Amino acid sequence: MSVKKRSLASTAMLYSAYALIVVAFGLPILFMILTGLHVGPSQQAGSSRPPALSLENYAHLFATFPVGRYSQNSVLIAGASTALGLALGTPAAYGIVRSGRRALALIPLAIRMMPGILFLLPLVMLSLWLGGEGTLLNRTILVVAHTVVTLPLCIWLILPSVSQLPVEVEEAAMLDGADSARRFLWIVLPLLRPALVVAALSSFLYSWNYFLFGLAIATEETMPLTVMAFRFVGQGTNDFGGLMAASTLIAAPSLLLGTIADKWMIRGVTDGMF
Amino acid sequence: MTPERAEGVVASRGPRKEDVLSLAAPAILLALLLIAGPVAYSVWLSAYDVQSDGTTRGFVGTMNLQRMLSDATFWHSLRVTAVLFVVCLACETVLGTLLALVLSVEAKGRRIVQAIVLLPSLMPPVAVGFLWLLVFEPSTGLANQLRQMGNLSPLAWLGSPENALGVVAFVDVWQWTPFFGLMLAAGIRGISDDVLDAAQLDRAGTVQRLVHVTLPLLRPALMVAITIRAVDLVRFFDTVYVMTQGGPLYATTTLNVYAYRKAFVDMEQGFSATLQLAVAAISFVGVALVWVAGSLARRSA
Repeated sequence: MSVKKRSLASTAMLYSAYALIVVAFGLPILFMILTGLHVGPSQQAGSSRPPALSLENYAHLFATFPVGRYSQNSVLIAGASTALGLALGTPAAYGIVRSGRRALALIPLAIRMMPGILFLLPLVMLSLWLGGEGTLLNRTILVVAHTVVTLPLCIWLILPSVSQLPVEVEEAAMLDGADSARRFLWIVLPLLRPALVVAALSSFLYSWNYFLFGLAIATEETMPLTVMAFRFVGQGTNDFGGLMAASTLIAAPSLLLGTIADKWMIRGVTDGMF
Repeated sequence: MTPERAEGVVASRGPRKEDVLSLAAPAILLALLLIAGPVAYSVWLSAYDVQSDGTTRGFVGTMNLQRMLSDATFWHSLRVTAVLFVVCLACETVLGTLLALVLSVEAKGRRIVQAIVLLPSLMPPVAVGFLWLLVFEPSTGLANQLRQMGNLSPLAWLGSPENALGVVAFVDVWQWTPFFGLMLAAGIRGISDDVLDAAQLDRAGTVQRLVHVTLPLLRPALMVAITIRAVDLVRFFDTVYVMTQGGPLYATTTLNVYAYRKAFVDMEQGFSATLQLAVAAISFVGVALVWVAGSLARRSA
């Protein structure tokens, strides 16, 4: 909407709306972070002073679970499935747009429409059939499972940028006889950089956040961080400080990317399905 | 030459089209495999009533389908899913539109507010579930402390079959209203100022401009947002599984949670596969309905 002089009343209304929005969406997240930094009431019984900030919950968390390994697993699964999604999805987006067969993009979309559990049983059976318990196998299966999340996302986030590229940029190379794979690699790919950043960040985040496959397929060796937090509750704990510390930990990438890379992430949310 | 025409020329060069298409082949083939494989496998699990130890009971045909259709819990979980679907989608659409109207105004501080709005939809559903689990914790949670301040008696929230579904819906609305807000705000900023200025010259009031100009032009963005959420709501799982695991007493058991429990708790693979296929089918039909409704609305407008 155009920038015009606003009346005092409408300015006041706008900023009350801002305040309401910040309270509704920001405050609960702040509450999560702060509770994680406070020691729970059971541990400070008898003290009347307000609880000070401490990293005790985090220290306890790291002592109870191999947090380092779980984080590594999360990074590995999210990173590898994002790489796979980009490696397959980017040329696919280019091919779909340039061949003019946009309907093909509905096939990856259909993956998005299937419930995650539908992939679970076949993958569990596939891993058993391939020899069961190996850590490398389990990791590979998890990465393939997470490609269900990253592949459609990458294709749909890159499609709009490819359609905005005029074919003219490829014409010189076309006259030189470069085939489509070369034109894609040397001319189109560099021009897609912004879309690739958006797709990479979003894929990584949604893969990191995804919980069902890790819950059902992962072994102790390959378990991602999101499942650790779930185990916390499974233990029937009422250590709320610890639970919020775990939640903050698994939400850390989203909170970081959302604040330092908000422009890219907003594109990730809004570009995807156009 | 316009890009479209140039594209037409390139496409008409015959072999080049297949050449380009081959770049899309690996992803499309993988996608097809990821669809056909699990669907075929689930049909097999269902039709041969495969047990958790891998043994089958032989071909039972549509027995699992018939069992599902006469299963009271199936119909109950379908109702739970439908209630969440309607309530969440309605609240998110209305609140998200309001949010978008606020976010589309150019003003100081907008970017910070927008960045905060962005956070819930980026957060892992597991963390969101835990966060609200704590807020609705009956003895020390914020929700009951607020009720006590207002002299209201504390509620069991997630522990009571009457309130649990409401809490689950609330959490979904909290997480996904921002998604609608951001999608629609991007849509509003895409409407050219000329159109809105023209409406203003016609002396259309703010409300009239909103109803007759902004909202109709937002329909494409709204359709996309509704479709994405509709698909996710049919297979509603993460937050509800984290907060209640479907309880208390099946009060928050969605179709997807029921299917998960059948497969991984009750170990009835064949029946679970039937439920999963039902979720997928409902999702496809749901999206088709949303698009038919959308095009009908466009025609009548």
